[in-house]
Amino acid sequence: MPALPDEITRLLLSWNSGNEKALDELMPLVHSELYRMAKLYMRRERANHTLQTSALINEAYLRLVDQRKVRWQDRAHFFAVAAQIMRHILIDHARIYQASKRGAGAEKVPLDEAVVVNRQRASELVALDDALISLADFDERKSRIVELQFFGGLSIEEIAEVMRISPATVKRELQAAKLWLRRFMTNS
Amino acid sequence: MMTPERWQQIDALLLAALERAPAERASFLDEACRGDESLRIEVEAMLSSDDEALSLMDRPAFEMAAGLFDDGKPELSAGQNIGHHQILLMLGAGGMGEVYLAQDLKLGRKIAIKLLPVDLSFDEARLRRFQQEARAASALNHPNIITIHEIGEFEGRHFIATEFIEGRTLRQVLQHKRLSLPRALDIAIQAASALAAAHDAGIVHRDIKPENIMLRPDGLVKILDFGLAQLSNPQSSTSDTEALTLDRVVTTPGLLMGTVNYMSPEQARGQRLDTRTDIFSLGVVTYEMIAGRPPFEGETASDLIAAILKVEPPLLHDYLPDAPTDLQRVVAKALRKDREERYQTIKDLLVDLRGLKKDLERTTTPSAAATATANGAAISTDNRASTATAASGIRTLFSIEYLTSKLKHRKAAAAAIALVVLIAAAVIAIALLRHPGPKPPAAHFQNVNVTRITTMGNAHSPAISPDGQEVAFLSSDDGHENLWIQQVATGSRVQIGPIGKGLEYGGLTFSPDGTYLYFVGDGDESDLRPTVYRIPKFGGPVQKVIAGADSSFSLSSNGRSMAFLRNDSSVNNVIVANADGTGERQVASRHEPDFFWAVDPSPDGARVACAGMRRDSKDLGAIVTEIEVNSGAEKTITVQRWRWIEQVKWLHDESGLIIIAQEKEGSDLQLWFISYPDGEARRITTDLNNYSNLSLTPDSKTLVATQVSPVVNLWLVPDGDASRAERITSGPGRRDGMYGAAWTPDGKIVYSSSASGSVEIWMMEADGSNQRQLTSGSGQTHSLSVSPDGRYILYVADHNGNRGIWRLNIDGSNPKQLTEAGAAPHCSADGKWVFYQTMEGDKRFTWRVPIDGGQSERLTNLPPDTLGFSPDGKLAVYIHSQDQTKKRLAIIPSEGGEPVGFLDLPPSTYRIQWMPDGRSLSYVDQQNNNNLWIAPLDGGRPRQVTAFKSSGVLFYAWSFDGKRIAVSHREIINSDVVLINRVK
Repeated sequence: MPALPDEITRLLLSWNSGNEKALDELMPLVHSELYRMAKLYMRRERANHTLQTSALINEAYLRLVDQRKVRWQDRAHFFAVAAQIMRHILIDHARIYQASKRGAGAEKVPLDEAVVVNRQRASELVALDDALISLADFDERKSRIVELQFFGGLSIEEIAEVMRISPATVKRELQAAKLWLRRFMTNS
Repeated sequence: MMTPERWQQIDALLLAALERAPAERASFLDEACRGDESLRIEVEAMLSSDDEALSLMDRPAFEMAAGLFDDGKPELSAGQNIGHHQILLMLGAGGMGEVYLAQDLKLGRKIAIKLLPVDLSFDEARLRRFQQEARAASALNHPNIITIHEIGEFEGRHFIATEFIEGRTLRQVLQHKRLSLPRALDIAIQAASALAAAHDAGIVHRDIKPENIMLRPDGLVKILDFGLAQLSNPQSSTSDTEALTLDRVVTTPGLLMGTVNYMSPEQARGQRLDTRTDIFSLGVVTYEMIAGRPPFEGETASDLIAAILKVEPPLLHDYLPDAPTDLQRVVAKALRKDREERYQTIKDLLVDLRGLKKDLERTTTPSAAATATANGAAISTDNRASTATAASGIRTLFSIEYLTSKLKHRKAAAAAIALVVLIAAAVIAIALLRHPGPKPPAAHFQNVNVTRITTMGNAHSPAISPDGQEVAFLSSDDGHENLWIQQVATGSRVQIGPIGKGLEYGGLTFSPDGTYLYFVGDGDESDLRPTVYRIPKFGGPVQKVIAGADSSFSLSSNGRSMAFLRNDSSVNNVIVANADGTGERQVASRHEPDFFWAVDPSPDGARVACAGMRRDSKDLGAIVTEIEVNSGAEKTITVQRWRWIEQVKWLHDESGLIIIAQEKEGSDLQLWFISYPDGEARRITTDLNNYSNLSLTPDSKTLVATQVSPVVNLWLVPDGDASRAERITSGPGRRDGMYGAAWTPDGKIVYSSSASGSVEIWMMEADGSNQRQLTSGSGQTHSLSVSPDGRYILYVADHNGNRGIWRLNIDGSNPKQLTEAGAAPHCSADGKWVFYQTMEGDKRFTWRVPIDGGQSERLTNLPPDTLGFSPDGKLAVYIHSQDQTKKRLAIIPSEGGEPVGFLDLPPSTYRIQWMPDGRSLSYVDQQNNNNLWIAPLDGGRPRQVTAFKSSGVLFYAWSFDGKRIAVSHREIINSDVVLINRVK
């Protein structure tokens, strides 16, 4: 049962006007809806092979937020929250997946290639999440930019809006962040 | 560890360097990092990966994670029902949907269920096309094609139920090793044979790859997913688009790499496909099996496609220096980029592959061939042929397996019959100990000559023409039954062609005028029951004679009447009809557990001889009964009983009958003469072959039959892992372990073998080496076991006519008779006693005798049907009760008392043994091709250990450490037609 658009819209506006507590209330509401939709999208993906994070989050946004009451910048902020939530959803899932596929006997069952690919992806995702946490220790901005792009599917312009920096800076920061992440992940 | 200050330094330099052109970066860093070499190294290391973009983040996380979602939580869970299938567990998931192991609740078998993607339901055209193909594929009925049981829909979800194959995909095998050339060729041949059958039916697989080729532990290859390639393409609602297009591959990086490797050039181009695409893909698979790597490689999907379209693969010689030149030619021809230059039909490729294999066998020395087998390639052409022929209609299998395989036709009676036969299996070996030998010989068929008249190895079901000049027979080729006519005098023969139906029961029968051949084949859409057909001797349209025949059928020699059996629920009826199928009437019937198996009308049609199983207060066995057609009066003809009677035929003058029968467990199906009317029996043939499909000339002078040479070998299953099973004995005509096998505490195997001409006890190492004979003249040896201290072998034998339980020193010395009766001897845990069993009625009782000999005593504190003791000797297991749904075992203290636990097993289980760890029981399940299972005593789910397709496990024995299993398994090596003449 999705939360009422009114409530989510109110929380979003409240948060955007500086009320950090509103975010705490907003997150779980968006989380359950995003989780539900993510599952739906994943299943749909297998048949048509098109999958866009931004489309998913946009759909959630349209469902959850009353469009008449918000400015376009609020949409970017919604996306920023959604990116963080998506990160949790996906990483949790990757960890569960890893754990479940390591279970006794799992290796003996004939699996098809997709499962092997998934197993590899799950560990890549978890490794990336670990690297992002390390990066955030000394450069939170870069970590956040990566999160917005990779987990939230935000465009450079949307990231610039959320982070209140120029698109050119977003690009450079992303590039440097990726170089660092790569170095971190190959070394660890 | 990097400090925030250090990172700020690096970050600043990184950003500054990124602002500059790559060529300028080095001089910039020279300047900026002056005096701090480690800083420069760090920044350069990061920059060096610049051109190699972080591939991980090319696509948003959400896309990468696709698939993790569904796989983490299966859509179906254990215990859930889909129609009459109960989900047991999820086997795997992928782009084509999820695969589950399930139990078919109706037929009590394990099946695999593939749940198709949910969106399929929305694409009617694609769904319909898939269903058409899957149905067509399911009709192929080829041993190398996975059997599709059902294509169904459940609550809006489409699924396919298929046979459950325990084994590994070729992909999994290739990950571990490159295959030996003979093994690779064998797999390619089996795959090509499957594709040939599919192509004949107009079905193109489109997605041949190692993931779709399943290898069973017994060596049989199964091709999966016919028709499924249709599903993988979402845009293919029009008929001319194909499974994979270049566009889709390129836009889905990584995801389809596994499949791209095996695409044909025309597939990569998105062109319309025909059967030749499968030829290319099989060529790729064959190349990879031999070379250990695929012929075309590329970093990305587009590179790979470019290679498929343009690059010639390296010569096989590069990987396998002694590869025959013909091999290179054959594989290269399959891999021609222009399909017009490729093999045009899969059959041409199949013929060449077989030729290669034959050449290889000719040039390989016997020892080299033996090594190839021992190296885990536990398969030979023989093995394959055996499975193929067995699956396609040779009916001379070990009768229990034969019966089991036929149970599907005797649905209602199935459980009861299985029960009866398994009791027979247990009972008769023991009961026969007390039986007198065969009666003295009668005059007829004193001497016969048996001449093999075919050498094809797959010939069966012969019929001799009324004038005795011709023999018609069938050969099983790639799932078809081909008809041949051979001249008896000259041996020349012509192939008439496929008979157009699957053979169900029995062989061919000539019409009295010699112009038609009758047989019992698969039913058609109007009537699914097995049906009697006839076809003109030299080919022509198949004509339906009469439907609903659940046995072979026979014509009277005056040509006026026919007889056959028909099952109706649990009742088994003898039907007599006019030769044209009219005037049908029922003349006798049997209720379970009794049943008939074979019938033959007397020459004048007035009586019918019926062979079948009868159970009475004493025991159970096969007999021949005569039934008066007009009155229905019955009379038993035979005096003795057999374990099984396969066929019965009257002699023309009614002076007697010929039967094909199995005397006791483990013995062969041989010809016997029964005098009429006094019913005395005498064995006609005395060899180590099995006979079936007997046909006589009207003067009874000449007989033809199928002769099958079975071989029983011992296999070693390490760590309970059947996929690593290896055959450890081999050799022509071997019967190793056919009457039992046991381990010594130090890991040697004691087994019965006929290698020296008679059945004796042998011993060898667990790898099959150092085989040595321990006994001679022991006669009818069976039920071997070894005492836990390793000092003695206990067995049942007939040393110099002294039948009973014997004890032998482990080195083969000092045979000592302990009892004059009994079976299944086992030493007690403390080594002091020998437990054994006797039969009274259908109950078995446990006795004990001191290991050094002496007075036997019956253990009256144990209930009847006690099967054995736990390894520590503290517990015993007995059959508490059994019905058609289960066999309930109870565990009790070995000194007797109330049950401490129960275990329910399928009713079709036998050879129940306690596992060495004391925590589980193992058993053989007849309903499942006599495969070995383990059931934990704590009530956990039983686990299947072996996965033999036919015949299965005859005997098995656990090593003392419980890690290894010695299994005896029967294979059919050759099936040919023999002519049997009476010698005056």
